[in-house]
Amino acid sequence: MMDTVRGLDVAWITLVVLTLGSWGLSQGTGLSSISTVAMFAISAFKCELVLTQFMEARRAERRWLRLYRAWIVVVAIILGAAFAT
Amino acid sequence: MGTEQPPFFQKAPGFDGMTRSSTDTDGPSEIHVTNLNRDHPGTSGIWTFVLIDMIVFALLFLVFVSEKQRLPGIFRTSQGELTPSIGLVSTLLLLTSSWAIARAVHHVRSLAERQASLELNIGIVLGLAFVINKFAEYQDKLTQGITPVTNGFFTFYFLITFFHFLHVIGGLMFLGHCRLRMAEELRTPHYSKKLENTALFWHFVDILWLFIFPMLYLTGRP
Repeated sequence: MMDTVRGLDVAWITLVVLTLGSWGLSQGTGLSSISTVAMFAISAFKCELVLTQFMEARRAERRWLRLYRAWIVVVAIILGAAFAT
Repeated sequence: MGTEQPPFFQKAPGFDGMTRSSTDTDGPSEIHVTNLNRDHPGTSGIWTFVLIDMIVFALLFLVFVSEKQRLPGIFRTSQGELTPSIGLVSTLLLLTSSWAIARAVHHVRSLAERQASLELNIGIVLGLAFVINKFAEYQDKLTQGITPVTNGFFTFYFLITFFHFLHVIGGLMFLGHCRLRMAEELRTPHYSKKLENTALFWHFVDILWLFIFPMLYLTGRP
């Protein structure tokens, strides 16, 4: 139990740090294509953390983890491609 | 059923708390047992519902980016009117609320009522702070004369954020219900499942915002 709660705490700290990192990337004049792609890749990784740590998707039926991961990857690719060009 | 304890409180012979299919049930009173698999977070119903909702949002995002390709200048200029720090605060509020609710789920499972109620309170208060922040942002935009009909970008800005906002309100109502029923229902087998379902919906609202934040607030600046 303690390990699980600690895992949630570590995930939350990681999510906060990555959010601040994304925000930092956006500051300044204009975003390069690489920065834009990196920003959506960070978003996808944050969603993966929420999915596996907060939603405990690894304990759910395997199809849910696959389907939700597929959604995250597809949305990240669509947005990354649209904003990087 | 009256005030009597429902049959599922008394473990039936051979029932191990795992999922039983509807064909296993002997009568209407045992329907409650279905989907009470303790090892599976939430029920299949909520996972399905959330997935359908995610697909709707994905389509909305797709229309947004196709409009962005059509009107790149308007989208880039209008995006510059948004304040990234407001989006940042919203993100941190939702992430921290989600974390508190995830902790509450674990403490409800171990019947740690005091800890769980504190975490549910924190999660709800942070959710309400998100609502206030969003209201302030809408008010700021409307005061500047920016409305959903200002241009294509702001139509999508209001549409996507308001649709998401409605999900936040819905999630807060469910969380509030779980908080109010905790003292009475904590020790019943369906309470943790109810909170898990609500928490899954709340985390999904968080996941949506994790893409909305960069899409609207962080990218496309000149």
